[in-house]
Amino acid sequence: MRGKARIAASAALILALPACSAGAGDPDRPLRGVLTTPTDIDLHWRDERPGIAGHVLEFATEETGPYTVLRYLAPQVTSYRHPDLLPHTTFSYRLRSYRGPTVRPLRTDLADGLRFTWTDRSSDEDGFLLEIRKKNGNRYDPVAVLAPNTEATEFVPLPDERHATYRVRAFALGEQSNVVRLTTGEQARASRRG
Amino acid sequence: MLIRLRTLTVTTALCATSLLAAPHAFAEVEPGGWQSVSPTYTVQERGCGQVDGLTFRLTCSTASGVQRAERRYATYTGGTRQFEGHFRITSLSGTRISLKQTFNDSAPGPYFMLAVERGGRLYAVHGGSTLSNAGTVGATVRVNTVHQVGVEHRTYINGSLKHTYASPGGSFYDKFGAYRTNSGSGQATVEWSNIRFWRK
Repeated sequence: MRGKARIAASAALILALPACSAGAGDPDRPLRGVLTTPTDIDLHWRDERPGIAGHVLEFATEETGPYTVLRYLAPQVTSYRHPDLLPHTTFSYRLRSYRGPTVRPLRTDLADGLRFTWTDRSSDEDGFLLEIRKKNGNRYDPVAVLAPNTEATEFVPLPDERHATYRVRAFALGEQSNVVRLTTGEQARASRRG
Repeated sequence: MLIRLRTLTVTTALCATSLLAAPHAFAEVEPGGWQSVSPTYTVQERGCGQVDGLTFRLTCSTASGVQRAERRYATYTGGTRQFEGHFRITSLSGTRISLKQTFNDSAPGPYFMLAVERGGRLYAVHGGSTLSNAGTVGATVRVNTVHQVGVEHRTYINGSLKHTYASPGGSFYDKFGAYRTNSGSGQATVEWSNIRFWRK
């Protein structure tokens, strides 16, 4: 089933024109982008289908890739800023949704981190996501991506993550969005970091 | 309102350029006269370092001595060089492992060293500044370095500029793999891919 979905998604892939012509609200083009400054790109998307557990945002600087994952994002997240970009470079972006069940892992506190273990009950996952809900937070966000068939991981939390709640999701990647392509301009010297 | 207008102007100008120009892809970043090159390299294995193609392992947790699994590329002098590569840390029970170096052969010593701490923080060893938290186990991270010898060294993580550093003149070379920094320890396994170089 997942294979069929992928084939259909590939056939339906639409190469979008840059953001200036990407239609807002077009269901066939859920991903939109805009060059907010010469070297900052803002991406927005809309995906209200039920059962979507999140999205993977990817970028490339060649039309044929390789694409690199920028972030695994919770379903409530619908925008992303890609900042301080390579100047005079064409960036391509695409979005992939993912679905999958979650389990509550067994947690063991270590001296310098946390260890989680769980049982792999899925047969066709593309991987596992360790998701975190911070104390007083209202959603889970992915913090680590793990290979298929994994049943344990160690995680080094930031100070505000040690008292968070964690869960593990077996995820299956879904269809691929349209591709948004934008070309950056000159780099502002003042924005550089050192 | 002013910000919106500025945004619209910039976007319109660049979109128009994109529509008029024939489709093209820049293999390298910061385009403009780049020439693809294939510098030679040697494999360096020291201590418990092991290299298997583009997989680099430090198999011990030793916190002293030289533990190195790296490729050392040919020395260059002058001009501008660009390196691109993707790395994925597949295991890291240690910490503070250098992943990519630009080595000053004239000084000599590591001039720029990108390293990872357990937990995924990518940082510049000299100065200690954080470049990104993207170096978690399992995540693929793209690195571009642009080195204008005698001017500046820039490091991009996943396409975003994260570090600039003034560069002296002299002779330099690129290294990547896994190398225990002075304050670090193994074990670590790092897989590199899509390695490319350009010059101009």
